[in-house]
This record gives sequence, C-alpha cells and structure tokens, in this order.
Amino acid sequence: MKKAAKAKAPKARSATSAKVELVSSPTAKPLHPVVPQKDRRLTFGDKWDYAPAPESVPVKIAPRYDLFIDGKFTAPKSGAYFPTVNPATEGQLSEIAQAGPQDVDLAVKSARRAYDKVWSKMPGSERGKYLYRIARIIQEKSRELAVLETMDGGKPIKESRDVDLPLVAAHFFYHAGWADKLKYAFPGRTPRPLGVAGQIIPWNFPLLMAAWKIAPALACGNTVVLKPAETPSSTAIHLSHIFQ
Amino acid sequence: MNIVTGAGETGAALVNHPDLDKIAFTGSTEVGKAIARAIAGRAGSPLPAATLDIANRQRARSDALYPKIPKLTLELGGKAANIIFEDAPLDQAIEGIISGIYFNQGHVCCAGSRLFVQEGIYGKVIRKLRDRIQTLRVGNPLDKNTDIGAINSKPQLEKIKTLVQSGVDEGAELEQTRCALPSKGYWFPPSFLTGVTMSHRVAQEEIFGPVLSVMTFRTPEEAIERANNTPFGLSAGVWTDKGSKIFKIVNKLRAGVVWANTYNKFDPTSPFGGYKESGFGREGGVQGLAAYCRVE
Repeated sequence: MKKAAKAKAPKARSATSAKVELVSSPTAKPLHPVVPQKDRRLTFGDKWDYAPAPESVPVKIAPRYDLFIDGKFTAPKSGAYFPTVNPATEGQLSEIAQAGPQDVDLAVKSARRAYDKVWSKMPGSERGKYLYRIARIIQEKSRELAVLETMDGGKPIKESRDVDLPLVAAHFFYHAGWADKLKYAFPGRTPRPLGVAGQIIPWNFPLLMAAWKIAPALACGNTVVLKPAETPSSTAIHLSHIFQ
Repeated sequence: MNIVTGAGETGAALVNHPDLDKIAFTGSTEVGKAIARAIAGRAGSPLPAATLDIANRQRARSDALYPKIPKLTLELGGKAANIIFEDAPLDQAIEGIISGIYFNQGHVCCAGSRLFVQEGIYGKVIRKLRDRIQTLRVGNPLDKNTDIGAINSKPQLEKIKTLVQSGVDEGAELEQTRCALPSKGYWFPPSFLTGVTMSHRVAQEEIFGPVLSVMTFRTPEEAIERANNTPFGLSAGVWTDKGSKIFKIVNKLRAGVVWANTYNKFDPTSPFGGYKESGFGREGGVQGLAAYCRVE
C-alpha cells in the first residue's frame, strides 16, 4: 500500500509539467524528495500561472564590439574576439574584442594624455557638467540599457529596470554634485586627483559596478581604463556610446 | 574614459601596466589576492606593508627611482550573516531574507547567504520560508513577472551545483522551489539548506547563487560569534524589534555594511566595502571620494 502511494506522487507532479524538462544534478538522492501529505505546503509550482509579459527589445545588438580607446572604437591589436552568450537561451548575442597587452598599453597611454592635457586641468564645475550630462543620458536610455543588462547577464528585468539603472544614474548625479565641492569633502585640506585609474569590475552588476567606479574617479579628476567582466561586457560598451 | 574588454589576461595586463596611479577591483577574493600580490611585488616589499600602507607610499611616488605604486582598493567576496531574533517582525523579515539571498539570483557579493534564526522561532521561520520560495517565479529574465532569472554562466552554475551537493553530502537538508525550469539556458531553483553547521562548506564558502544556509543560535552573544566566524566581512543584517539590541549587535559585527530590519539597500551617499577577506577601501559617500584623491 505504502509503496503504491509513493509511486503515485511524483507521477501526479510530472503531469502538470509535461512539456518542460526538470534540471537536477545527477545524484543518487532525488533533489525533490516525495513529501508526505501531512506536511502542509504550498505547491504553486506550475499552477501559479501568469500570462507571459515579456519586455520588448528596443536595442539593436551589433554583431561585433570593438575596444573603446581615445574616444574611438578601435579593433584590437590582438585581432581576437570572444563570443558573449545570453545565459537564459544559450544563444550568442555578439562578439567582443579581446584586448591584449598592446591594447591595454594604448588605452593607458590615451588615458594618461587625457589626464595631463585636459581632465586634470579642467575646473571641477566643468567636470560636474559632463557627469550630469552622462547621468541624464543614462536616465533617458535606461530602458534599453536595462533590457541589454538582462539579456547579457540573465538578471530579471524587474531588477535591472527598478534597481540597477536608477542606482547607476543616481551614482553619476551624486558624484557630479561632488565634482566642484571636493574641498568641502576634506575640510582644510586640498584634494588632488591621482592620475590614471585602472578599474576591473565583476559580472554580477556590470553597469552598476562600472558606475560605482567611473563616477567618483571622473568627479575627482582622474581618467579611467575600465576592464568589464568577460561574460557581460556589452552594456559597458553601450555606456561608452554615451560617453562619446 | 577607455574600455578594454577581455578575460583574465586582459585584467592582468591592466594591473601590471607600470603607468597606473590607482587600481580598483571588485570581484572574487582569489583574484583580489593575486592583484595585491602583483602590486606588492612591484613595490619590492612584503604584502601587508605594501597594501595597508599605500596612502603613505603614494607620497614617495615622485621619486623616479621607485616604480609607480598604485593606490589600491579591493571589494571582494562575502558570506553575510542575516540574524533574526525572536522579537523580529516575522513577515517583514521573511521578505528581507528572500530579497537578501535571491536578489539577482544570489550573484551579489553582499548577499545574506547565512541565515541565523533564534531557536524559539526556528520552526515558524522555516515553514514561512518554505512557503515563500514556492511563490518565486523562475524563468525568462525579460518577463516582467520573473523573480529569479538565469545563472550568469555555465561555470558558475557548475560551481553552485557542486557546493549544494557538498552541503547535502555533509548532512544538510535541501529545500527547493518545485518549479519547472526552461530546458535551455543556465538555471538553478531558489534553494535553502537546513541543518547546516559552521564547519560545512556551504557555511564557509561563497556560493554566489540562490542558495541560503540556515543555522540557529540561542543568545545574542552566540549570534555575534557565529556571524563573525567567517573569513569574509562585507555585510550583515539584523532583524529585531528592539532598537538597543540593533545598536549593540551592529557594533560587534565585523562587517562593512550592516542593515537593520532591511536588506540590500544601496545609496550613492553611503560607503560600501568590507573587512577581512572582503577587501579594503570604500565606494560611495565621502569615503568613496577619498579613494580617488590625494589629500594634501
């Protein structure tokens, strides 16, 4: 009797999810143990049905993205590209340039030139204007950036749209405000920029982490060489469109 | 601003470039250590002095005999403790736990991946948590109803599976959302492990996925001791109705960010960064500006 009841339970569950494949790790112990009836539990699973409400894709993803050096998109000296994949579909989104040491050197040299000739000499109020402008453009383009971020990194659109992008813009706005008030941040002392900042960011929040690093660096008068994470790089490149 | 895309080698080329004044890294503790080592080697001095004393060394930079020693900030991994006391508002706390660990599929360095429940409410919390994760919707990230999206990459999915398996092997009990997963893409259902002890891998190592390790405690002192028993120290959460308890606990937690009766709240004005193996330096706020200035 007991045996029969046990055999029945998983069958009933699989009937509701007839078309979909369950992914479970290959272990002897089942990941979803059969639960006795007396354990009261919610079993929404597949029954918790909503009509799908997918976000449209307002962006065009280029088949190939180059490096952003000296304000221009440049093909890598290494000549190498690597594919970037949408983790939700395993489909290839685009190809992204793989920068070699030579490319990095070019980028750092260009950042050094920009620092020596322009950015470090620019008054804070002017730097602030650029940062405010960047923040506003990010707000204007937030929908397409959010969709890109989701396609690239697999995070739900709800989060990229309501958390990531507003915070990205907020970081640029906040640091834009600091750009001409740095003396007040360090009362009685003189803050000076450091120079060229090399920044390496992770894949979990590609845009937000870029904003956390770029905004304060630029506000303080530094120039930046940014290395986005390997898996989701394309939003950072779209960010450089904005900088351009 | 310049952007150089690429994998680890590109990052290494950037870190090893001799003409940088500042290096900021956010990522895994492993790579963070390697970066600190690379820079320390350049300075020709042992690691602790070179990394902790960078602000002072910066002044000697003008001396052309010295190679450039970049100012360094690292924001690395975490294994945050989320502590729930018996007097906490439970439903609010459950929502906090959920957003604390399952936000961005758990790919958050400050994710509340260790849950400490005071023993008196353990049964209640587990029951509520069990019910709550069944309502999480896993699927197409572009769908506006989706709560949990796809795992970022295949290697990451493998890592999560291995660690969860190790937890089960070590005797923890696994509870997962019983939902259908799409056949293509990288997915892992929201999960939590009960019966975890401090020595389990799932209690010590950063999983970086939608997996919560649940443990218990009896007294506030025990909670502090267990919460601090980790190589990391990035963030923590405290849930209680009593304000004085919050202040007492918060001051004893070795974590850069501590949330009270909330979780994963970010603001540009508040500095963010870690203790111990979670790195050093702060991002955001006035402290974040200091990381990009030479203050004279």
